[in-house]
Amino acid sequence: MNPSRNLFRLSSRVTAFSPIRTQAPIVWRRNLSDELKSKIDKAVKEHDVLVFMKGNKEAPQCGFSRAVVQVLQIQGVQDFKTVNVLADDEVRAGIKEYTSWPTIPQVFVKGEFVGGCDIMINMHQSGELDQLLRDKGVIKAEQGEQGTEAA
Amino acid sequence: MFRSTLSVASLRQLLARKSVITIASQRHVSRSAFLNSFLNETPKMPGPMYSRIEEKLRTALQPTTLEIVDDSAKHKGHAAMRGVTGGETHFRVTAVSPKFEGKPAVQRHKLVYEILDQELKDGVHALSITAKTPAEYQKLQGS
Repeated sequence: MNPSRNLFRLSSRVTAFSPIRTQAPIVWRRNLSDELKSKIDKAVKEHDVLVFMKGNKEAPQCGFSRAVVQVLQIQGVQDFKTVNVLADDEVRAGIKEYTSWPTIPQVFVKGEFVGGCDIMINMHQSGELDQLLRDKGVIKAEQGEQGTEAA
Repeated sequence: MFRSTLSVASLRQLLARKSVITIASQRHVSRSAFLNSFLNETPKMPGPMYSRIEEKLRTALQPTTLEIVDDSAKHKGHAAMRGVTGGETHFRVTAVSPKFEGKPAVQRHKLVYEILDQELKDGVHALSITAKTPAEYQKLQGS
């Protein structure tokens, strides 16, 4: 037997008794390349409101994504940019690593990660989202929620 | 929507002894929600994923209230769910824990995501989270 192979066998035998062996073999795959990271960095800064979602504004592919789009529209955000993660597996995996947030949708306002669907809905209900969008200058003082109750 | 730690046999025993309500209150399940789940839904055993989620959250958050709802059945037809079998995929979690104190919403959600990291990797597709501190929860109940 070839000696290097023997060495390999020996080393694998040693690990058989180490505590590491009890865990599932972990293959650490980094999804977020530096290139993708800087692309996301740039995109979130370029757009006042950027949503990573499944599908697009017109045809959301998931109820949670749809809810976020609707919340933004009700809030009077006219012109927000969306990224369809279903169109690009690298972005889909990379964005989760970028924010350490495992689910889609993800909403950024002025480069800052605000949250996913639950947080957007809660902030919408509590008025925090309205406040945030005004503070950041995304919506103007006179626009926004007026009249939505009557509709 | 049974609590996961009860086995079929022990549930039957409990039903026979009519002591379910006591158990429900001990486990911080609101009585109406618990009884409703009895009356309205076909009894369904919690799946292995449900149990894993419950155990991990109980251990890590020490919650004063914990409700987990398996919504998977409502999402079976989704495009993303095609070909997925045995699907425990969609969950709603309401957790009340002092560990959320002083943390903004994003941090609270991240904490839950971290605790359930492996579960999310192992097939949980959607996780809706409501994370409150005991004080916030009390205020909600009062209103």
